[in-house]
Amino acid sequence: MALLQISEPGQASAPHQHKLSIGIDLGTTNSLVASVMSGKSTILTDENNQSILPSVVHCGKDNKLTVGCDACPYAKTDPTNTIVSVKRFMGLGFKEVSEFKNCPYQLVENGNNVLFHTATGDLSAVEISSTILASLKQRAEKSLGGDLVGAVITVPAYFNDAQRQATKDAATLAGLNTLRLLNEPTAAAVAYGLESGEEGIHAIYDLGGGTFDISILSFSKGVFKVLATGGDSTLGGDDFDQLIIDDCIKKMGISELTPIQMQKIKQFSRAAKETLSTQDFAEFDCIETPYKITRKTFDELSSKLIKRTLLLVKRALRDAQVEISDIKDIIMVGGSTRMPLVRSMVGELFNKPVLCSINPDEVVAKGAAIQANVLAGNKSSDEMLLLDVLPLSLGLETMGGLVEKVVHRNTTIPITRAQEFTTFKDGQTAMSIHVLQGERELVKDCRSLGRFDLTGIPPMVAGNARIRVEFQVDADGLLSVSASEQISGVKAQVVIKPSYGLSDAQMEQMLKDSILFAKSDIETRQLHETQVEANRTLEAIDSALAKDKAMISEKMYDEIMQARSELELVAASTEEKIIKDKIDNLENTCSGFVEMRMNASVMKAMQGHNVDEF
Amino acid sequence: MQNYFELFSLTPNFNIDLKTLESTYQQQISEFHPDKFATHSDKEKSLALQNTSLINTAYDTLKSPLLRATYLLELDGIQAFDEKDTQMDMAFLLSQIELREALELIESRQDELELDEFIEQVSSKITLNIAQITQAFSESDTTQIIKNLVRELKFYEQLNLQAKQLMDEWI
Repeated sequence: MALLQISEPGQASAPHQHKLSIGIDLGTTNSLVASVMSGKSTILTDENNQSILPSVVHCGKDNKLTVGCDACPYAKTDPTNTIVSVKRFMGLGFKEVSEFKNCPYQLVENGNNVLFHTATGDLSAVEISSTILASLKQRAEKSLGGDLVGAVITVPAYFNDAQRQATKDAATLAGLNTLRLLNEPTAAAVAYGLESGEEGIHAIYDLGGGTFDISILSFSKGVFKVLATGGDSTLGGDDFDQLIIDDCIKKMGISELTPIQMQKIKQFSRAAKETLSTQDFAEFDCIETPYKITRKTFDELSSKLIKRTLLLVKRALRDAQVEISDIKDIIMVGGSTRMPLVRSMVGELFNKPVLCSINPDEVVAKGAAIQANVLAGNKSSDEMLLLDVLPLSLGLETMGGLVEKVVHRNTTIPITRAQEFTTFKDGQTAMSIHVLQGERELVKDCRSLGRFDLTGIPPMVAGNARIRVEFQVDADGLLSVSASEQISGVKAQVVIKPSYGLSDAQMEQMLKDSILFAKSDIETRQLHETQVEANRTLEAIDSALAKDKAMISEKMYDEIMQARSELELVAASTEEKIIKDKIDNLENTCSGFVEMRMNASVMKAMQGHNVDEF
Repeated sequence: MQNYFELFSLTPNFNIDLKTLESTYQQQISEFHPDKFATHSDKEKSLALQNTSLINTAYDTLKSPLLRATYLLELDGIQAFDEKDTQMDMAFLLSQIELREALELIESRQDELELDEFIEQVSSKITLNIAQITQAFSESDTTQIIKNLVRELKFYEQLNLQAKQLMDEWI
């Protein structure tokens, strides 16, 4: 039985036109941007032919922001104003951030947010990330020579809701339309999968600058399906640098370090680690005293960290219900997989050589670009689909500080799940709903995503009210929650914005007051985006009418055409509000038609069953 | 009214062809995933999101033997997990208590190998139980028999989950 009859996705009846889209790997250490050009995913370079943009932002006086290579030297000379590895701060609260070791920044607590106190002013991690994204966007527009339909931005599969939301907010702030947040390992598999055409089950081992991800996924008939994912969002190349730093500090007997000295040792240690990938030893001057480390010592120090990654690999295999021998390929991603010990230990576990033919720094961005190209609607027939899973379980606080899981880890998304609760006291008229993410049983061990209240419950005897809480996770892994009392129909709905995230109002204000972008820029940008949206809406309705005109009455057709021509008339106007109103008007006029096309059968099935009864 | 089985062109039955389920699922999801509507209106995106959520729920339900059996009973108007009717076979309950005690002992000893064996043991009970449910459905046993088997399966699965969570914590 067919579900719905709708138009061929992503296609318009308008003459085929290549839409510009990009894939961004927003990395802890480095960021990259790629785009599909003449059918091939290509890394875009800057005017100096550099592909990598170091994820470093220097926040100087007089609002002077420097991003990338130009900002790197400041890390040594002005460490408090130079933010490196900002990704590690995304979506975190003050308490979590204050546990970071050797952090040279002046952090300010601002409600639930953490701000970096810099010469430019107090900036959030979202704002700093947005300058990196804006720089990549600019690079892409320059080299592609046009406006972008949107971007696919990659995140570690293990990122929680708060971290994902922060990434999406950063994109919005940078003026990018996020087509999709894509898990990094999935992006890597896309890059490999399409080039080798390999069908089967693959493991993607991704050890980046600050995060470790393991994903098990199957590829069959154009569908990539994530079977399981795991990892540690606080384990990465930086921790291997830290091993050298600690060893150096210990051997040199150093007690006090200035931020500048610390930053120097950090950079030397990273360079030493890289040297050790090809040489038997590395040495550097640590505050005027020579320090030497051999590969053997480094391997001994690092094997504990690598073993931890292997345990996480085994857990993911168990979650995916596959055996080690079922794995066809092991794809290595992230700069840290250049370490010979990582490659050999992973190879030993799987009893197979690992794949590292695509540059591990570029593979994620390349895969993201392929997906962006599909989502922008440039590919039609042989499309591929990426099915991601929820990385961490979602639940609600119940009596006694316990967490009741509503959606389990590794459930394929998008998904809707509901759970029913009841009142605890006679005449109780309100209920507080506390949403959590994590695997542990106690509230205090899970990540709080937000709280809201359902009020106006009619007084009833304890246990008689039926409160249904519904979780909806979209394709980006972002959650919205609604609650309603079933007998009286009282409703409360919230899009869960993580406690540590930004509210919509805060985002709006930030866009308005942005010290990062001139006000006029933002207005121009918003107008431009609205104009683009108007054209997109026109195209979509034309293509829908071309196909399914027969479904609607003549009266409805006339009404749609009237709304359509009203929009067409103002589509190029400079009054953003007028265009917006006409877009809304056309969409409202069409809503009946749209629903008709999305055949009612599925909707009926949804109304007929309670999905929460399991 | 369309049920989950019809959604995947299957006849309501415990013994389903998982390959058909898999391939129909892939086909359905490829058509309705929000990614296919990335540049469409918000309305279409939201409908696609709802549809895909439903398809995923239906797929998860049919794929899991426990959920599939529970759902089949529900289609017949039987609640396998009715709070008012919690009666279970005494011998089964005793064996559950024993298994739980065994797990607690393993937990106090922090023995990874023992835990691994325990998980194996529970997994084989699950396999056996699923075989019994398959047989019970195909021989059209009384719903009471099926209901009891389904409840037993839930016990085992919860135990299995608990054991795996313990393993996760040790990792």
